[in-house]
Amino acid sequence: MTECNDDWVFLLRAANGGDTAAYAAFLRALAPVLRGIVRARAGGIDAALREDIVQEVLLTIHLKRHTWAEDRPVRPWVYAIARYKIIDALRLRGRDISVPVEDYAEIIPAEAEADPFAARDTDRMLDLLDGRSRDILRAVAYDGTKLADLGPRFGLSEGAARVALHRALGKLAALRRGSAE
Amino acid sequence: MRTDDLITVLAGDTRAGRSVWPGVMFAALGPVLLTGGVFLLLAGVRADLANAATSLLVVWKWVLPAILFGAGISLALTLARPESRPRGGWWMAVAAAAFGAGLFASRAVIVPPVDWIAAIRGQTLLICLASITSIGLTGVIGGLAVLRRGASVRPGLSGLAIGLGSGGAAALLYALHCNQDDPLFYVTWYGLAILGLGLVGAVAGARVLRI
Repeated sequence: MTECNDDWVFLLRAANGGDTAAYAAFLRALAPVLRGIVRARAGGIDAALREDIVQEVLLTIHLKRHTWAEDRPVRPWVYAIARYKIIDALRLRGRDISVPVEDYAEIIPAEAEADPFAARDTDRMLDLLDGRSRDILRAVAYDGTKLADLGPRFGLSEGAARVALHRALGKLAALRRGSAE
Repeated sequence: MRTDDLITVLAGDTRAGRSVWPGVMFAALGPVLLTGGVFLLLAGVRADLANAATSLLVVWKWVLPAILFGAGISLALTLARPESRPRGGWWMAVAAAAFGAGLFASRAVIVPPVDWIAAIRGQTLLICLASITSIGLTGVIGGLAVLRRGASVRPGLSGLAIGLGSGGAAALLYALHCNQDDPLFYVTWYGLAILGLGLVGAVAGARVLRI
Protein backbone atom coordinates (compact mmCIF):
# COMPACT_ATOMS: atom_id res chain seq x y z
CA MET A 1 0.00 0.00 0.00
CA THR A 2 2.81 2.39 0.91
CA GLU A 3 4.59 1.57 -2.30
CA CYS A 4 1.48 2.23 -4.30
CA ASN A 5 1.08 5.60 -2.62
CA ASP A 6 4.65 6.60 -3.32
CA ASP A 7 3.73 5.96 -6.92
CA TRP A 8 0.82 8.29 -6.48
CA VAL A 9 3.12 11.05 -5.28
CA PHE A 10 5.36 10.62 -8.31
CA LEU A 11 2.43 10.48 -10.67
CA LEU A 12 0.75 13.54 -9.21
CA ARG A 13 3.98 15.52 -9.17
CA ALA A 14 4.52 14.64 -12.81
CA ALA A 15 0.91 15.56 -13.50
CA ASN A 16 1.39 18.97 -11.90
CA GLY A 17 4.38 19.38 -14.18
CA GLY A 18 2.08 18.98 -17.16
CA ASP A 19 2.41 15.22 -17.79
CA THR A 20 -1.16 14.27 -18.74
CA ALA A 21 -0.28 10.60 -19.21
CA ALA A 22 0.96 10.45 -15.61
CA TYR A 23 -2.20 12.15 -14.48
CA ALA A 24 -4.40 9.67 -16.35
CA ALA A 25 -2.35 6.85 -14.79
CA PHE A 26 -2.94 8.35 -11.34
CA LEU A 27 -6.69 8.51 -11.90
CA ARG A 28 -6.74 4.96 -13.28
CA ALA A 29 -4.86 3.73 -10.21
CA LEU A 30 -7.21 5.66 -7.97
CA ALA A 31 -10.48 4.42 -9.47
CA PRO A 32 -10.28 0.78 -8.28
CA VAL A 33 -9.29 1.92 -4.79
CA LEU A 34 -12.29 4.25 -4.64
CA ARG A 35 -14.46 1.46 -6.02
CA GLY A 36 -13.24 -0.80 -3.21
CA ILE A 37 -14.01 1.79 -0.57
CA VAL A 38 -17.48 2.47 -1.89
CA ARG A 39 -18.20 -1.25 -2.15
CA ALA A 40 -16.98 -1.86 1.38
CA ARG A 41 -19.18 0.90 2.75
CA ALA A 42 -22.25 0.54 0.60
CA GLY A 43 -22.08 -2.96 -0.80
CA GLY A 44 -25.83 -3.26 -0.60
CA ILE A 45 -26.55 -0.66 -3.19
CA ASP A 46 -26.71 -1.17 -6.90
CA ALA A 47 -23.34 -1.40 -8.72
CA ALA A 48 -24.21 1.40 -11.15
CA LEU A 49 -25.10 3.67 -8.24
CA ARG A 50 -21.78 2.84 -6.60
CA GLU A 51 -20.01 3.69 -9.83
CA ASP A 52 -21.86 7.02 -9.83
CA ILE A 53 -20.32 7.76 -6.46
CA VAL A 54 -16.86 6.71 -7.67
CA GLN A 55 -17.20 9.13 -10.57
CA GLU A 56 -18.34 11.88 -8.27
CA VAL A 57 -15.27 11.41 -6.09
CA LEU A 58 -12.96 11.34 -9.12
CA LEU A 59 -14.48 14.53 -10.45
CA THR A 60 -14.11 16.28 -7.09
CA ILE A 61 -10.52 15.14 -6.63
CA HIS A 62 -9.77 16.37 -10.12
CA LEU A 63 -11.28 19.81 -9.58
CA LYS A 64 -9.57 20.16 -6.18
CA ARG A 65 -6.18 18.72 -7.13
CA HIS A 66 -4.50 22.07 -6.52
CA THR A 67 -5.26 21.70 -2.80
CA TRP A 68 -2.69 18.88 -2.61
CA ALA A 69 0.75 20.27 -1.75
CA GLU A 70 3.63 18.44 -3.41
CA ASP A 71 5.51 18.02 -0.15
CA ARG A 72 2.61 16.24 1.52
CA PRO A 73 1.50 12.63 1.27
CA VAL A 74 -1.23 11.95 -1.26
CA ARG A 75 -3.14 9.29 0.61
CA PRO A 76 -4.57 11.33 3.52
CA TRP A 77 -5.57 14.03 1.04
CA VAL A 78 -7.32 11.60 -1.30
CA TYR A 79 -9.05 9.76 1.53
CA ALA A 80 -10.27 12.96 3.19
CA ILE A 81 -12.00 14.05 -0.01
CA ALA A 82 -13.26 10.53 -0.75
CA ARG A 83 -14.64 10.10 2.75
CA TYR A 84 -16.46 13.42 2.62
CA LYS A 85 -17.91 12.83 -0.83
CA ILE A 86 -18.96 9.24 -0.15
CA ILE A 87 -20.72 10.13 3.09
CA ASP A 88 -22.32 13.09 1.34
CA ALA A 89 -23.44 11.02 -1.63
CA LEU A 90 -24.86 8.24 0.55
CA ARG A 91 -26.55 10.67 2.92
CA LEU A 92 -28.15 12.55 0.08
CA ARG A 93 -29.33 9.26 -1.36
CA GLY A 94 -30.97 8.48 1.96
CA ARG A 95 -28.35 6.35 3.65
CA ASP A 96 -26.53 7.26 6.79
CA ILE A 97 -23.34 5.26 6.73
CA SER A 98 -20.20 6.14 8.59
CA VAL A 99 -16.93 5.82 6.72
CA PRO A 100 -14.04 5.45 9.15
CA VAL A 101 -11.03 6.67 7.24
CA GLU A 102 -8.47 4.53 9.02
CA ASP A 103 -10.01 1.40 7.53
CA TYR A 104 -9.12 2.36 4.01
CA ALA A 105 -5.65 0.90 4.08
CA GLU A 106 -7.21 -2.55 4.54
CA ILE A 107 -9.51 -2.29 1.61
CA ILE A 108 -8.73 -4.32 -1.44
CA PRO A 109 -9.11 -2.42 -4.67
CA ALA A 110 -12.12 -3.67 -6.56
CA GLU A 111 -11.89 -4.68 -10.16
CA ALA A 112 -14.57 -4.58 -12.79
CA GLU A 113 -17.98 -5.85 -11.94
CA ALA A 114 -20.53 -6.52 -14.58
CA ASP A 115 -19.40 -4.24 -17.37
CA PRO A 116 -18.60 -1.41 -17.83
CA PHE A 117 -18.54 0.94 -14.95
CA ALA A 118 -21.27 2.66 -16.78
CA ALA A 119 -22.61 5.16 -14.34
CA ARG A 120 -25.90 6.83 -15.00
CA ASP A 121 -25.67 10.13 -13.20
CA THR A 122 -22.97 11.61 -15.35
CA ASP A 123 -25.01 11.11 -18.50
CA ARG A 124 -28.11 12.48 -16.86
CA MET A 125 -26.13 15.54 -15.76
CA LEU A 126 -24.63 15.91 -19.23
CA ASP A 127 -28.14 16.30 -20.57
CA LEU A 128 -28.72 19.17 -18.16
CA LEU A 129 -25.59 21.06 -19.20
CA ASP A 130 -25.66 23.88 -21.68
CA GLY A 131 -25.16 22.73 -25.26
CA ARG A 132 -21.54 23.65 -25.77
CA SER A 133 -20.31 22.29 -22.44
CA ARG A 134 -22.10 19.03 -23.17
CA ASP A 135 -20.72 18.78 -26.70
CA ILE A 136 -17.18 19.49 -25.51
CA LEU A 137 -17.34 16.84 -22.77
CA ARG A 138 -18.84 14.29 -25.14
CA ALA A 139 -16.27 15.03 -27.81
CA VAL A 140 -13.42 14.35 -25.39
CA ALA A 141 -15.03 11.37 -23.66
CA TYR A 142 -16.51 9.50 -26.59
CA ASP A 143 -14.65 10.65 -29.68
CA GLY A 144 -11.29 10.91 -27.94
CA THR A 145 -10.87 14.46 -29.20
CA LYS A 146 -7.57 15.92 -28.06
CA LEU A 147 -7.38 19.35 -26.52
CA ALA A 148 -5.52 20.66 -29.57
CA ASP A 149 -8.36 19.52 -31.86
CA LEU A 150 -11.07 20.83 -29.57
CA GLY A 151 -10.43 24.43 -30.57
CA PRO A 152 -10.91 24.06 -34.34
CA ARG A 153 -13.92 21.81 -33.83
CA PHE A 154 -15.75 24.35 -31.69
CA GLY A 155 -14.34 27.47 -33.29
CA LEU A 156 -12.25 28.36 -30.25
CA SER A 157 -8.62 29.18 -29.71
CA GLU A 158 -6.71 26.47 -27.85
CA GLY A 159 -6.64 28.61 -24.73
CA ALA A 160 -10.38 29.23 -24.91
CA ALA A 161 -10.99 25.51 -25.45
CA ARG A 162 -8.97 24.73 -22.31
CA VAL A 163 -11.04 27.19 -20.33
CA ALA A 164 -14.28 25.85 -21.81
CA LEU A 165 -13.41 22.25 -20.90
CA HIS A 166 -12.45 23.25 -17.37
CA ARG A 167 -15.63 25.25 -16.91
CA ALA A 168 -17.74 22.43 -18.31
CA LEU A 169 -16.31 20.08 -15.65
CA GLY A 170 -16.96 22.68 -12.96
CA LYS A 171 -20.56 22.97 -14.10
CA LEU A 172 -20.89 19.19 -14.13
CA ALA A 173 -19.67 19.03 -10.52
CA ALA A 174 -22.05 21.83 -9.50
CA LEU A 175 -24.96 20.00 -11.14
CA ARG A 176 -24.10 16.80 -9.28
CA ARG A 177 -23.98 18.65 -5.98
CA GLY A 178 -27.26 20.36 -6.73
CA SER A 179 -29.03 17.25 -7.96
CA ALA A 180 -28.16 15.37 -4.83
CA GLU A 181 -29.68 18.02 -2.59
CA MET B 1 -20.48 7.58 -19.23
CA ARG B 2 -17.90 4.92 -18.42
CA THR B 3 -15.43 5.77 -15.71
CA ASP B 4 -12.58 5.27 -18.16
CA ASP B 5 -14.12 7.86 -20.45
CA LEU B 6 -14.52 10.25 -17.54
CA ILE B 7 -10.84 9.78 -16.71
CA THR B 8 -9.97 10.61 -20.32
CA VAL B 9 -11.89 13.85 -19.96
CA LEU B 10 -10.34 14.69 -16.59
CA ALA B 11 -6.83 14.02 -17.89
CA GLY B 12 -7.60 16.30 -20.83
CA ASP B 13 -8.40 19.20 -18.53
CA THR B 14 -5.00 20.72 -17.88
CA ARG B 15 -6.23 23.86 -16.20
CA ALA B 16 -5.54 23.69 -12.48
CA GLY B 17 -7.62 25.57 -9.94
CA ARG B 18 -6.16 28.53 -8.12
CA SER B 19 -4.91 28.23 -4.59
CA VAL B 20 -6.60 29.82 -1.60
CA TRP B 21 -3.46 31.54 -0.37
CA PRO B 22 -2.82 34.45 -0.64
CA GLY B 23 -6.15 35.35 -2.25
CA VAL B 24 -8.16 34.81 0.92
CA MET B 25 -6.03 37.38 2.72
CA PHE B 26 -6.79 40.05 0.12
CA ALA B 27 -10.42 39.04 -0.31
CA ALA B 28 -11.21 39.05 3.40
CA LEU B 29 -8.97 41.85 4.59
CA GLY B 30 -9.22 44.13 1.53
CA PRO B 31 -12.94 44.96 1.78
CA VAL B 32 -12.66 45.32 5.57
CA LEU B 33 -9.77 47.77 5.24
CA LEU B 34 -11.65 49.67 2.56
CA THR B 35 -14.99 49.99 4.35
CA GLY B 36 -13.29 50.41 7.72
CA GLY B 37 -11.08 53.11 6.25
CA VAL B 38 -14.07 54.96 4.83
CA PHE B 39 -15.81 54.66 8.19
CA LEU B 40 -12.79 56.11 9.99
CA LEU B 41 -12.55 58.95 7.47
CA LEU B 42 -16.18 59.85 8.06
CA ALA B 43 -16.46 59.14 11.79
CA GLY B 44 -12.92 60.05 12.75
CA VAL B 45 -10.23 58.38 14.80
CA ARG B 46 -10.53 59.04 18.53
CA ALA B 47 -8.42 61.99 19.58
CA ASP B 48 -6.90 60.32 22.63
CA LEU B 49 -5.80 57.17 20.79
CA ALA B 50 -2.22 57.24 22.08
CA ASN B 51 -3.38 57.39 25.70
CA ALA B 52 -6.02 54.71 25.25
CA ALA B 53 -3.69 52.33 23.48
CA THR B 54 -1.32 52.32 26.43
CA SER B 55 -3.99 51.80 29.07
CA LEU B 56 -3.91 48.30 30.46
CA LEU B 57 -7.70 48.13 30.55
CA VAL B 58 -8.23 49.38 27.01
CA VAL B 59 -5.43 47.84 24.98
CA TRP B 60 -7.40 44.56 24.79
CA LYS B 61 -9.83 46.29 22.45
CA TRP B 62 -7.12 45.78 19.85
CA VAL B 63 -5.26 42.77 21.12
CA LEU B 64 -8.24 40.41 21.39
CA PRO B 65 -9.70 41.23 17.94
CA ALA B 66 -6.19 40.93 16.47
CA ILE B 67 -5.86 37.43 17.94
CA LEU B 68 -9.27 36.48 16.53
CA PHE B 69 -8.30 37.89 13.16
CA GLY B 70 -5.08 35.87 13.04
CA ALA B 71 -6.70 32.70 14.35
CA GLY B 72 -9.68 32.98 11.99
CA ILE B 73 -7.67 33.52 8.82
CA SER B 74 -5.16 30.82 9.65
CA LEU B 75 -7.95 28.36 10.48
CA ALA B 76 -9.80 29.14 7.27
CA LEU B 77 -6.60 28.55 5.31
CA THR B 78 -5.77 25.31 7.04
CA LEU B 79 -9.31 23.98 6.73
CA ALA B 80 -9.19 24.61 2.99
CA ARG B 81 -6.94 21.54 2.81
CA PRO B 82 -9.19 18.50 3.22
CA GLU B 83 -6.81 16.37 5.27
CA SER B 84 -6.05 19.04 7.85
CA ARG B 85 -7.16 18.82 11.46
CA PRO B 86 -6.37 22.23 12.93
CA ARG B 87 -6.26 22.55 16.70
CA GLY B 88 -4.04 25.51 17.57
CA GLY B 89 -6.23 28.12 15.88
CA TRP B 90 -9.33 27.05 17.77
CA TRP B 91 -7.45 27.11 21.06
CA MET B 92 -6.26 30.62 20.28
CA ALA B 93 -9.82 31.80 19.55
CA VAL B 94 -11.14 30.14 22.69
CA ALA B 95 -8.33 31.64 24.75
CA ALA B 96 -9.15 35.11 23.41
CA ALA B 97 -12.83 34.61 24.26
CA ALA B 98 -11.98 33.32 27.74
CA PHE B 99 -9.67 36.24 28.35
CA GLY B 100 -12.44 38.62 27.26
CA ALA B 101 -14.86 36.94 29.65
CA GLY B 102 -12.29 37.25 32.44
CA LEU B 103 -11.83 40.92 31.66
CA PHE B 104 -15.60 41.39 31.78
CA ALA B 105 -15.83 39.57 35.11
CA SER B 106 -12.93 41.48 36.64
CA ARG B 107 -14.75 44.74 35.89
CA ALA B 108 -18.10 43.40 37.07
CA VAL B 109 -16.58 42.84 40.52
CA ILE B 110 -15.36 46.41 40.72
CA VAL B 111 -18.37 48.21 39.28
CA PRO B 112 -21.34 48.24 41.70
CA PRO B 113 -24.20 46.05 40.43
CA VAL B 114 -26.57 49.03 40.11
CA ASP B 115 -24.28 50.51 37.48
CA TRP B 116 -23.81 47.34 35.44
CA ILE B 117 -26.62 47.99 33.00
CA ALA B 118 -25.47 51.53 32.31
CA ALA B 119 -21.86 50.43 31.89
CA ILE B 120 -22.73 47.60 29.54
CA ARG B 121 -25.07 49.76 27.51
CA GLY B 122 -22.56 52.59 27.18
CA GLN B 123 -23.45 55.37 24.78
CA THR B 124 -22.88 53.90 21.36
CA LEU B 125 -23.95 50.30 21.37
CA LEU B 126 -26.09 50.48 18.26
CA ILE B 127 -23.49 52.24 16.16
CA CYS B 128 -20.89 49.82 17.50
CA LEU B 129 -22.89 46.71 16.61
CA ALA B 130 -23.96 48.06 13.22
CA SER B 131 -20.47 49.26 12.24
CA ILE B 132 -18.53 46.15 13.20
CA THR B 133 -21.15 43.91 11.62
CA SER B 134 -21.34 45.75 8.33
CA ILE B 135 -17.59 46.30 8.01
CA GLY B 136 -16.94 42.66 8.89
CA LEU B 137 -19.63 41.37 6.56
CA THR B 138 -17.72 42.61 3.53
CA GLY B 139 -14.79 40.44 4.62
CA VAL B 140 -17.01 37.41 5.16
CA ILE B 141 -18.39 37.70 1.65
CA GLY B 142 -14.98 38.23 0.05
CA GLY B 143 -13.37 35.49 2.13
CA LEU B 144 -16.06 32.92 1.36
CA ALA B 145 -15.77 33.68 -2.35
CA VAL B 146 -12.08 32.78 -2.31
CA LEU B 147 -12.49 29.84 0.08
CA ARG B 148 -14.67 28.20 -2.58
CA ARG B 149 -11.41 27.44 -4.39
CA GLY B 150 -10.34 25.29 -1.46
CA ALA B 151 -11.52 21.84 -0.48
CA SER B 152 -12.83 22.06 3.04
CA VAL B 153 -14.50 18.93 4.32
CA ARG B 154 -15.89 21.04 7.20
CA PRO B 155 -17.52 23.87 5.28
CA GLY B 156 -19.46 25.19 8.27
CA LEU B 157 -16.32 25.45 10.38
CA SER B 158 -14.48 27.14 7.52
CA GLY B 159 -17.26 29.72 7.37
CA LEU B 160 -17.13 30.20 11.14
CA ALA B 161 -13.37 30.78 10.94
CA ILE B 162 -13.60 33.37 8.18
CA GLY B 163 -16.46 35.07 10.08
CA LEU B 164 -14.42 35.33 13.29
CA GLY B 165 -11.38 36.51 11.34
CA SER B 166 -13.28 39.20 9.45
CA GLY B 167 -15.12 40.24 12.62
CA GLY B 168 -11.80 40.53 14.44
CA ALA B 169 -10.36 42.74 11.68
CA ALA B 170 -13.50 44.90 11.65
CA ALA B 171 -13.48 45.33 15.45
CA LEU B 172 -9.79 46.21 15.35
CA LEU B 173 -10.50 49.10 12.98
CA TYR B 174 -13.68 50.20 14.72
CA ALA B 175 -11.80 50.37 18.01
CA LEU B 176 -9.67 53.16 16.52
CA HIS B 177 -12.84 55.27 16.53
CA CYS B 178 -14.72 53.97 19.56
CA ASN B 179 -14.10 55.78 22.85
CA GLN B 180 -16.13 53.45 25.05
CA ASP B 181 -13.34 52.00 27.11
CA ASP B 182 -15.11 49.92 29.71
CA PRO B 183 -14.57 46.19 29.10
CA LEU B 184 -18.18 45.74 30.25
CA PHE B 185 -19.09 47.60 27.07
CA TYR B 186 -16.57 46.48 24.53
CA VAL B 187 -16.27 42.83 25.50
CA THR B 188 -20.06 42.55 25.27
CA TRP B 189 -20.74 44.34 22.01
CA TYR B 190 -17.54 43.68 20.12
CA GLY B 191 -17.90 40.08 21.21
CA LEU B 192 -21.51 39.84 20.08
CA ALA B 193 -20.78 41.46 16.74
CA ILE B 194 -17.83 39.13 16.06
CA LEU B 195 -19.80 36.10 17.20
CA GLY B 196 -22.71 37.13 14.96
CA LEU B 197 -20.36 37.36 11.98
CA GLY B 198 -18.98 33.94 12.89
CA LEU B 199 -22.49 32.49 12.83
CA VAL B 200 -23.32 34.16 9.52
CA GLY B 201 -20.08 32.73 8.13
CA ALA B 202 -20.88 29.27 9.46
CA VAL B 203 -24.38 29.16 8.00
CA ALA B 204 -23.26 30.59 4.65
CA GLY B 205 -20.15 28.42 4.56
CA ALA B 206 -22.13 25.24 5.12
CA ARG B 207 -23.98 26.06 1.92
CA VAL B 208 -21.46 27.67 -0.41
CA LEU B 209 -18.26 25.82 0.55
CA ARG B 210 -19.53 22.28 -0.06
CA ILE B 211 -17.18 20.50 -2.40
